[in-house]
Amino acid sequence: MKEIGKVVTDWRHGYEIIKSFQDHRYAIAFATPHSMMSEPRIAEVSNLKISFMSERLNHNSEEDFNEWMKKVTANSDSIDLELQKFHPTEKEKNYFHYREIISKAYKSNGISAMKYVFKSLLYTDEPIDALLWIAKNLSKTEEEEYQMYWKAFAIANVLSEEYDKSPDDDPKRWTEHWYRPYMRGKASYFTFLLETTLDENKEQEAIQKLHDMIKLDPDDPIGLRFILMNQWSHLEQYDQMEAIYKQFPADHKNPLFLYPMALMKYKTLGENHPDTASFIQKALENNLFIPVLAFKNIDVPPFESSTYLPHSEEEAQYFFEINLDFVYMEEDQSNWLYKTFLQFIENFHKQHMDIQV
Amino acid sequence: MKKTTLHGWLSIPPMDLRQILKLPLGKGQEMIKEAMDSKGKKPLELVLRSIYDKDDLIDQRFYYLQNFAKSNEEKILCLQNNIADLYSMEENEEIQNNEVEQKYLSFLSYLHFCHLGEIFWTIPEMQYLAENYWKVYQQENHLIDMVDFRAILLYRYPLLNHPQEFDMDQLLSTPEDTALQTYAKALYYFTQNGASDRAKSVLNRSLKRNPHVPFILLQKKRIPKKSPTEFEPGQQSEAEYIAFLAGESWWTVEGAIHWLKKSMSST
Repeated sequence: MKEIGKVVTDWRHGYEIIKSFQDHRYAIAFATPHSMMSEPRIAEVSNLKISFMSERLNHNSEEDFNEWMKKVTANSDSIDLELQKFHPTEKEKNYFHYREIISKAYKSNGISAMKYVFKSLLYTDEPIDALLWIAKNLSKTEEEEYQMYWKAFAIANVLSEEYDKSPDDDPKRWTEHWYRPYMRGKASYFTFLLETTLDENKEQEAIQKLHDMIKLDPDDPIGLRFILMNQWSHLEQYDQMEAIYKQFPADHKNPLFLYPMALMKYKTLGENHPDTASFIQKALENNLFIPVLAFKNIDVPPFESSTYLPHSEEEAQYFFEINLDFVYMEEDQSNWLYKTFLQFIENFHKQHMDIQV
Repeated sequence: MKKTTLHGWLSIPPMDLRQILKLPLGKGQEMIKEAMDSKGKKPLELVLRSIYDKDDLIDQRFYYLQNFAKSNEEKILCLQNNIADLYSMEENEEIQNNEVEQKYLSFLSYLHFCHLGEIFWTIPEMQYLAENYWKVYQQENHLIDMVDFRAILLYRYPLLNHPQEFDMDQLLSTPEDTALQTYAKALYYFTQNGASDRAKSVLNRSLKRNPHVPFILLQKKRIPKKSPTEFEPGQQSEAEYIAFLAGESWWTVEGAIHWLKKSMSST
């Protein structure tokens, strides 16, 4: 999980990258924002049950624990069989059942997904993921959507209050299976507040809260940092952009960071400054689809996947999902980007085609 | 004049109860009403979207109960969660200051308990829970015709696990205006002292009020498995309702069916 959200290879070695992605497709696909943590999944429920049981066990050694895990994960039924021995309360059983049903809902479509969501509501009084599903998939008006996100957030906020206060030297809230729905509830509400026109005064508060959420899991596996980077870019809060860029050194080759940083350098230092040149060069090296989509006179296709590969067109689509500046660029900015892009292609052609010849 | 059966009351959605009490509906409740008249995937969409409007899920769970709940487990969850929501709503200050809202909540809670009782009664190991509810609720008075409710308990008297815990004076205080009430009392008197004069007299009155009843009761196969939602005193619909409520009891009490058959032929 260390490489989550981070670009691991250089675009110029395209062939090797693709080959390596095929070999490690899942590992890398999971290691992107909007990944397995942004939606409930059935594996999350299994892990939840395992963590429920292991909290109640006193293993003497790691070997003991590994032996137990081997038994528990032997086949698809063994977790549930083992779980029965721990006599979960009716409420706990119902909650596991809720998480199973809601994960099925996220995996389904149409009427079948709606039935799962409806059924899930019977089994819990904290249906955060169910409310988020309705907000994302069914709500017809902004008011409806707002209320749904607000409800999900309110439940998450109340239920996580005590937990948030507890001291933790190395908080990893996104990886804690009990806690993850609370993170989803909060992050979805604040992200929605950035987009909604219903309450524009809340934008600054939402940005602050999203920033605070990173403290709950400094690895930021969901990629809130990219949303923040792009928001600060839009609001011209350049100090904040610099700060978050420095906070995540492993993302220094990530186009989601590099393009906003390059544009910021262009705006503040001019196109001839070495910093501007360096950032845009690195940005182009790491995703060429972003300028290509920016120059197309058509709407960028919506980002619909829950995962994407680094350097891909889907990554560019995700970039346009969270970035406003590259959609509505000033003429001079657009000309600069176009010129730099052509220069980059020309240099690439010279450098690599000559070698091939 | 047609009367609503207990099961008829239990099938009335909370929104309709609000309308009976002339209480306003929220936007979400209007959406659920629209869902009831829609087809395809639209009803589901509307019901799920309607959640945005209220803090509780009472109307949505009731909709699930009527349209989707397949197992007793699901039905019980719908009702128990609703009862929990209703309790917390009673704490609301605005509701405490509104008499009609209070009446609505208390009536709805009562119907939910009755509904739970009906489900528990169908599960042998949970029948004691149904009896616990009935003991409490036989004393209450609501919009519903409690006379009929007490008659229902009388019909079930021979099947109760702890009949001694019921207030028989209260149950027997029901008037004897309709066959629904008299057939219940006739069976009760028969269980106590056999074909006594009192039992005979009440049964004779019953046979005159609704002669259709024995024809259904005497043929086990004709006893309805589902309750009608309404009935008309003296008519076939009332006989079917009585047979639904009393079929098992009349066949369980030793000699009762034979006595009914004999009484029918002599009248």
